[in-house]
Amino acid sequence: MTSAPQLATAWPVTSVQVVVTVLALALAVVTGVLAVLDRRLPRWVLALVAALEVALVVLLLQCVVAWAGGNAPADPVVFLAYLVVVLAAAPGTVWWGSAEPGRWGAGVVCIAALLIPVLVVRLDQVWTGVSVTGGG
Amino acid sequence: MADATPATEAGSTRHGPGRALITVYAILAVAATARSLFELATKFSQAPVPYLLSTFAAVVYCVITVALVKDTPQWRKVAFVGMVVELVGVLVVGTWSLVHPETFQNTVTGKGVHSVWYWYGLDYLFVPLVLPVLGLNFLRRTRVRSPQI
Repeated sequence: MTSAPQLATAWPVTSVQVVVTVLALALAVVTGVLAVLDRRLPRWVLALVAALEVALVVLLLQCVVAWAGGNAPADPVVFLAYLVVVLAAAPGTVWWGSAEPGRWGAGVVCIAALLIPVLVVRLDQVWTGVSVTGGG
Repeated sequence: MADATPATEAGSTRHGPGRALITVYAILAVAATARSLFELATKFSQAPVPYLLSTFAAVVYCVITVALVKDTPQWRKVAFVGMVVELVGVLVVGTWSLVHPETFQNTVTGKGVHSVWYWYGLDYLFVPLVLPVLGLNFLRRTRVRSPQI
């Protein structure tokens, strides 16, 4: 990995982002397989979700530290909104999916797990103000 | 684990694939609502048409999400109408954004402004284009043939 340039708006969490992405994709694979096998969401999936949430909290703390140090996100309101959603996605869908007996219980967690890496990329874009979408 | 399935699932929009549909619709509803509220509050006058189109998409997603969660025959009709509006909306706005890109331009900065259904939902990985098709197909497959529908 190359080191990021020390711009005022440099994204502070590149290595944690990799951990979050790997954990989220692992969760997506596990829940995807469970869904294909038509299994109910097992309790041990909670351990993987917990690990993912810990990584996300580390990401959050790094952002807070950087923010306190004067390296603020380009768009604070949007950034905070994304942060709330990325933290709530996995626990929210575990709650929503655990009430479902069939394959779609694991399926909804899989959807959230696939969404999280995308949201983390968006967090990076909102922080640095470099966006592929037309924020204009 | 087929113990608790059959009785509740027939015709329900809350269970089975419906649960996944609700999840995706809820995500889009949150994303589009937050986006449009932010755009309306901070820069509405710079590009009113794309921002109003985003707001319209947000309302449609919220209505469909609520309708699928409510899961009654009446709300099922609401979900159906919502998905038809969504499909027509994403096709019309998507085509419009390709044919008349000048409508999707910030009058102050001159930069292009996306909307939720811009380029058939490009910002959302084209999920807005696929979702109404899956949703309408789901409603059709889980239809219960009874007088009230």
